[in-house]
Amino acid sequence: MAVDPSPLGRAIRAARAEQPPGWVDLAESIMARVRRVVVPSEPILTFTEQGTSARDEEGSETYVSARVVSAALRRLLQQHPTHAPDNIELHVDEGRLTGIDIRLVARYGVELHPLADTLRPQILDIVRDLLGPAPGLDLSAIEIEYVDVSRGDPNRT
Amino acid sequence: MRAARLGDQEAFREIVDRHGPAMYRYALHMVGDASDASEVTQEAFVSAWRSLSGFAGRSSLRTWLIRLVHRRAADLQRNRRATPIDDGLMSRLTPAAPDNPLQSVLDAELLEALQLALNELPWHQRATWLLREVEEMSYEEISIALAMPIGAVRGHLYRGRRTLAERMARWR
Repeated sequence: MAVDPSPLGRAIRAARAEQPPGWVDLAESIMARVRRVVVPSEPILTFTEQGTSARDEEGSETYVSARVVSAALRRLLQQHPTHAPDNIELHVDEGRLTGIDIRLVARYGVELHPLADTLRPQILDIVRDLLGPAPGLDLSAIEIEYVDVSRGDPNRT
Repeated sequence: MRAARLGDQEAFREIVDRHGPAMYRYALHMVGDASDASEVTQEAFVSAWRSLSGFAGRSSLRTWLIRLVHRRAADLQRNRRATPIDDGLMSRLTPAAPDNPLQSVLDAELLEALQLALNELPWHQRATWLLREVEEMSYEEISIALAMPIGAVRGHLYRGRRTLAERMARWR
């Protein structure tokens, strides 16, 4: 393609090549503001090893934000190149976690059913670490749906 | 993108690093002031972070981000008065010569002249010209980013090109 020698043509080439000064500092400022953004999130009740929500004789209770649970599950599901989380939905009823819906993207060629069977106990372990043994929350409360398949590591797409 | 939508800040940082320089450059050319452009770009990215989970993917991520920047730049512009161009500036500048070792200096002067000429363009002409000529977006992408019909994009671009060519011809 012929190079446009006009002043405007030269200005366009210069503008395309321009690296705006101050970008590095601005990127840091953007991320600092992003980290300060508080996303509304539902509180989820935790349970003691005895299966009760009361922490003392006065019935004090402890809650963990749904955002914390989702972030922990996201990190778990990002660990391997065979799959990546597409969506994590927590079902909370009157403060209690009642179900978890996970949407996954799998790498092409991965055995889907065995992968889901491997992930469910890991997901439940994470949830129990954070919330304790919530009554009624077992493997059957964890739904895994594959929504896409990718050629490479789906964590990189 | 997928991880950022789920709240992964490191993944969002990759989006900032990949698309941020172009967004900031667009904001700079649109509002003409580094401080305002920084604010516009920051607000656009914070908005993107808040609403990324709702990004449906009907356009490319880049087009969506440019749209966020454009909206905030437009908000800023509504509260401003136009700055008249210094017509004497372009005649004072030295035209560029091929293989000139001072090319980078000349490029800086050329860009300054371009910015002054852009400042005089009506808002939509400036936006369509920048997105087409500098950011090299398609008519369809510009149409989505600026929320205007493709025919209007073509019209604004035609008029913007003509005006800028006349303005910048003084450099010959």
